[in-house]
Amino acid sequence: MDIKIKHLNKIYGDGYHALRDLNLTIQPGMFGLLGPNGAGKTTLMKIMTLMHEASSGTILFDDFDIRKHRKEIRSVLGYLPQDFRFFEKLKTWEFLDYGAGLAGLKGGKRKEIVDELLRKVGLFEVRDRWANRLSGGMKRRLGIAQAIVGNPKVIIVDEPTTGLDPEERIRFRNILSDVSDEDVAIILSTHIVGDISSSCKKLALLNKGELKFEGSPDDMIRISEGKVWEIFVTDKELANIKEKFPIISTIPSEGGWEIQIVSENPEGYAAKPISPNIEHAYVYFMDFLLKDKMDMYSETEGSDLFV
Amino acid sequence: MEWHNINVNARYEVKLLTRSGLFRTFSVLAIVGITIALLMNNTSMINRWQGSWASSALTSLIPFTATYYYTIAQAVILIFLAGTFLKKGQKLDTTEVLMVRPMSNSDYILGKVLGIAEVFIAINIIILLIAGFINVFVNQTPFSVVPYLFYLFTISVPTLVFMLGLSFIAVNIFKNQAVTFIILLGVVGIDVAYLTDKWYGILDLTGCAIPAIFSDLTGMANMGLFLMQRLCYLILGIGLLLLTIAFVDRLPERKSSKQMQLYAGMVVCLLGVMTGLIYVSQHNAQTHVRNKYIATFKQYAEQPLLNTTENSIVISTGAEHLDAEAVMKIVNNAETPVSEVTLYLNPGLQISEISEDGTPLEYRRDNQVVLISRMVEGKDSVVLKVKYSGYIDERVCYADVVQDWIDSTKSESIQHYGKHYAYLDNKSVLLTPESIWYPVTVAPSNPSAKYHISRDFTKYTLKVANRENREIVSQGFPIKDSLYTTFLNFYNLSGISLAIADYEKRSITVDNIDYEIYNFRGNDFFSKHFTHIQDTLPALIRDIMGDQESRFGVAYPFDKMAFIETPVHFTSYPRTWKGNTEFVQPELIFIPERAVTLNLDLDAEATRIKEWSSRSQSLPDEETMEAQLLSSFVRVFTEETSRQRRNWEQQSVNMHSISPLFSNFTRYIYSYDYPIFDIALTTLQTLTATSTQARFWEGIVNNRQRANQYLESNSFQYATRDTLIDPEIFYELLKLKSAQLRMYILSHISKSEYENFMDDYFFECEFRRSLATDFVAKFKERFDLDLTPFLDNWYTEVVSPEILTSEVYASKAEFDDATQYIVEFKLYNPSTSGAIITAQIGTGGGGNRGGWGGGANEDNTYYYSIPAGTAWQGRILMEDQPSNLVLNYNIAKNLPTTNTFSFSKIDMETDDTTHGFVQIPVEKFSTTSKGEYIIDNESPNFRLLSSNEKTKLQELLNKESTTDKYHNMQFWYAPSKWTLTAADYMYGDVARSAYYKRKGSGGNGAEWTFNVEEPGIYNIEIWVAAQNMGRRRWGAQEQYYVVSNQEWTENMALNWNRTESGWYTLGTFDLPKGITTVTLSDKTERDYVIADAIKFVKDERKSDSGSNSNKQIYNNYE
Ligand SMILES: Nc1ncnc2c1ncn2[C@@H]1O[C@H](COP(=O)(O)OP(=O)(O)OP(=O)(O)O)[C@@H](O)[C@H]1O
Ligand SMILES: [Mg+2]
Repeated sequence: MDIKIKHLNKIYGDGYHALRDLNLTIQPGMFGLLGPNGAGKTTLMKIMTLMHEASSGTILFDDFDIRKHRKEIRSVLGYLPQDFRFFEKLKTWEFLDYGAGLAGLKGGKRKEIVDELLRKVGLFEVRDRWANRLSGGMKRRLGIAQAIVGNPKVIIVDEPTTGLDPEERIRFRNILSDVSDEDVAIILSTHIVGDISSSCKKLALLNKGELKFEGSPDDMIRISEGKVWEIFVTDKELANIKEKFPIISTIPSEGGWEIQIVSENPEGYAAKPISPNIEHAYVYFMDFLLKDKMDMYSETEGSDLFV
Repeated sequence: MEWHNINVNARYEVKLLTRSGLFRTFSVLAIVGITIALLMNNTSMINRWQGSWASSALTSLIPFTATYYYTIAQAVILIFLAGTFLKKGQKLDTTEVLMVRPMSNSDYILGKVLGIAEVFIAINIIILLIAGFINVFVNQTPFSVVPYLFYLFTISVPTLVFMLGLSFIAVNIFKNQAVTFIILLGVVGIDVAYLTDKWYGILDLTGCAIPAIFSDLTGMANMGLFLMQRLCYLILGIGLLLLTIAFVDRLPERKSSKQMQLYAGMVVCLLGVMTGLIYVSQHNAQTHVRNKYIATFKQYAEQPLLNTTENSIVISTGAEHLDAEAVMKIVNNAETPVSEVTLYLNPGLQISEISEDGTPLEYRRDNQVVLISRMVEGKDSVVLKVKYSGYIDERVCYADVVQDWIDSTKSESIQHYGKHYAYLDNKSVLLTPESIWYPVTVAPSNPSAKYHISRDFTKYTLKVANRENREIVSQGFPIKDSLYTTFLNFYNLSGISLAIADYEKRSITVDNIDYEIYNFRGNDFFSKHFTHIQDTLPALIRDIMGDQESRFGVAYPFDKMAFIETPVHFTSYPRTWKGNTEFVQPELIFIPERAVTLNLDLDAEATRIKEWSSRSQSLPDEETMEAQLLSSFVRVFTEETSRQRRNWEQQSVNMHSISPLFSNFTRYIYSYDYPIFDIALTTLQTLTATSTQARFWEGIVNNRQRANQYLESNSFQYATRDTLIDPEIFYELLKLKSAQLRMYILSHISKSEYENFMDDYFFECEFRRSLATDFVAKFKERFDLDLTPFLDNWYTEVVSPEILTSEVYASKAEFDDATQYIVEFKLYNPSTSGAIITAQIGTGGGGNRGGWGGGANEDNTYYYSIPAGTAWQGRILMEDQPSNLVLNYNIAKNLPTTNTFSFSKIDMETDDTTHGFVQIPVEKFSTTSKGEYIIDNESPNFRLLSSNEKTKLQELLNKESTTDKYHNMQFWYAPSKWTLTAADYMYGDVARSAYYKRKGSGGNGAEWTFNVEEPGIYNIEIWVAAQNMGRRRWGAQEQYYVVSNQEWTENMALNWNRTESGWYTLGTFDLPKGITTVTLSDKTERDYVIADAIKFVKDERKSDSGSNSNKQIYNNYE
């Protein structure tokens, strides 16, 4: 299912302009939504899941318009909200069963599917435990299970991996990749770049409600090529260089440090260019975006970067 | 809307609700609480002596009570839970994942509603099962499953739907848990507590105050209207839920659907409101028709009066229909001719022909009035035949009763029964004169002047078509053939009644009187209590009848006394102007279905008798106990007033009293000048010496006192036309006035002479009308006493005498070997109207306070007339030792109207045995001695040191805000503000009153101010109002006073732990010239504090002995 976001604007009741003329096309497969806090990721997702109404513009799910075909759109959606809690008095399986029931599954078939999903996310053993007594990771798994129950065509997950240990994170990613197929679009928002590089074919970068980048992770890496450097510095120099450039990593070596930095031009240092990975790319982007955030008046520096 | 989605939501709502701790606690509390309440009120398990007959004897009573309790509980639970609908519904992200699902908003809300409803209905069913169990196994009262289901679907479910709608909408509007809770609680609380009787109960959201009790014979009083009221709330509930769907904070499936839902919700709500309006307008329509009939009565009230001397009626009855023919002999008793014959007939009955000797006559019909063009010459008569058929329109009944009474469904308990004044259906026919089911010439009521009514004595013959399996009951001797039952009457009656139903009949003949009981088949609840006295029954009945005959001074005038069961809704009103209710007719007494509203619980009474007797040493046999039970049963019909079962302080006119059988139905004295003469004379006959004396349970502020107060500014004549006077107060007023007439007569002629005269007179005009002028003439002839001047005054004067009393003593006079006693007292009437007072001396027993009629009897009763401005001394010589003197001021401003003076021991001796009642010079009467200064709480020198104002809010919420100045003393729960009360142990000249309040922290006080003109030594004495009734109380009982003047201030205490009221010395003080105040604090060890009178007594001896620097000389403080 193709999702087309067209001239989407969202102005909240208090006048805050959370999304600005957003245009984006999302094709089946895993799609990453990146952006710093407050960028508008959740806002976009709430509009996609019909929790909020757009102020102007629209989103099309194939031909279904969020303004008109809400019933149809709801029947293809699966959603895991960012801040996700449970009813106090529902058991793990019941929670899933409730979702499955509303997704239109009936009778014995529903029970089968619920059990199968519980096994898939590794919660079958704790199916009779109160849902709100599960551990954080288990809760997330239950959350994703309910989001994928009923074979949705569009799965929207909002920052699903924050607070999870690496093992859980991998597990989570695997669950998601299991469900992705030809026709399913999975949209996930995250801070954790690693999640995206390993699974997303496409990503978008939002800041302050505006789309700053759209493309594949490779595209993003390509743009940051020649901006990542490796330098050997002494203790004294390190303190100095920290002031000037964003540092990606520091490795101690004899007599000093081997560090990686992002910079247009690290003049004055014996810098060796290295080929960037997705994390380098993100830091590069964020550095500029953050700067942009701090120096509101000096827009010139990065404004034409992604045009 | 998809059923599947609704169902899933409902299923999970059920899980969530039943797992909520709050809900679980509430529902367990509700189940346990309601079970206990049912066991307490609807079974005899806990209240063994009080019984539960009134709340369980009909099949619908227990299910109604259970439903009522549950409906209230349900409302409370819903109000508490309403907040959580919001919490779950809108804040937590949990619901977001559900909201994303492909369901519509209506699926979501309806699912929730369905889930909640399922749970509440399930609990309702549990409660009904418990009630059913209690019904069948604990109480073994009549059981039917129908009312259980009926109330579930007509009371609980509509209330549930409405309450859900209301809570959901409130949550959506206010979006705040606390605000929603408070608003819902306020709305529902105010509604249930205050608004259920407004506009025929349309605002009663639970519907519990709409009459809904079934008669087991004829069903509900008015099911149509009940259902309409319930439908109103059901529809409104649905409307509100639709609106809720529109208000849900979730994007609808289509843009337009929100608007659609909003419109739909509003339309449905409007529909509900319209149903409510129809309900009200239906009621209004009834009132409208009733008013039309009232206007008709008024219009023809002055029509010349004709009398019917004979009336032969042939009638056949069917469902909602009767066919009849009446042949009437109508007499014009006046000298002047009458141009038209006026008849009254129920407006539901259509006349097909009126003829005389086979010739049809012209007539006009104006609702219940029929005007026949037939001139009747003076002293001439005419025989008319009236053929008519149709139904009975009950709205013509009780045209003389205020609309409030008609509309009131008030009941003593939580059940509301509804009303019918006549029955004409398959199951039951019940027609009394009030429904004008046969043509009469005298109207049954006169709404323009209630007391200006007349009574006719007619020889009736009634021929009733037999019906299969139906027993026919009426006055007279029945002769039954294959087609008809004919009732022959041997004397003239004031009206006849007809009852037809599937009755079981029991009868016994004692001394030529047939005693009959007709109960609906299967409704015999009484015989099982009287199995052992079958043989002695005639003797018991003879005794009981003998008692009644001697009580009324006449032999029972009829040959028959039948008790007939009626459907429970059959109602009447206590119309003092009629002298009888429709429950009591000549020969017939109608009792409610299973005697459920009769204040009679044979089971409980039997238990009570058994348990009381078992306390005495010798256990009486079954026979004695059953005889006792029988007399309890009889008491229900012989008491003048009936005390209510639950609220024993409340008493009301006993509508089933058989006293009219001995008086009203056998005679009628017509008076043009004093239309109330007949009823007053009848009332007078039933009065005894103690009838107008206070009874201890009534308190000081009672209807008698209110009647007295009324007479201070209104005449008796005015009262008879006053449409606003409370009937219960009027009844007391009537008793006071009748007593006044009686006392007037008895202060001139002896009681036996008077009684003989009355017997002769009544015998002479038994079963016919006589004239008051005739009565007065005969009285004058016999006693040479013209009653006319007294009667004129009696009828028109506005009286407010005040009587002061002083020097009440009892002393002993020893002669040779005999001891005699003198009781003396002085009375003074400073007012401008004459008074009659009653003095009664109690003998025997100790000097126990109260002596509420105890020991007093007619022989020791004296009537004294005290003209305005005169003073008198009474001295009564007694053979036996007097224990108390009760002075009854009758019609006077005095409060209480009765004063009791106890003589606990008599130490005074005298050798003066002159006795009698002599006038004394006014100067010889004084309530104080020289050098005594009394400041009472009614004096201008007394004031309260606190604001005694009620706040606006208190006034608003105080439902029973009375205009009474004085309040009954409730020492077990004293008011928090100074409250004026009165009692004969308090001090006062006319009003023996005092202020009292709950103990406080000293913030409120009372102050007596005395201007000392002659400085010197004074005793300050406090009137201690001791209501302890001879018992001392435990613990400290001090009241604290401060005596002060410009020179010094002294704190004092006085012990109030006294067994006798009187003056007690606070202390002796040297008072300087000028103002001295005594202040009482509300800080005390007692539960309450009383501010009454203070006396300053100049101590001449000590004052003379020169100045004493010590300001306080002597303190009586114990
Ligand atoms: N209901 C609302 N009313 C007003 N402003 C809102 C509302 N919801 C979000 N915002 C604002 O809109 C902006 C975007 O918020 P959003 O939650 O979409 O960001 P985000 O990209 O998801 O951030 P994060 O990574 O922290 O979750 C923020 O500044 C936020 O304060
Ligand atoms: Mg977010």
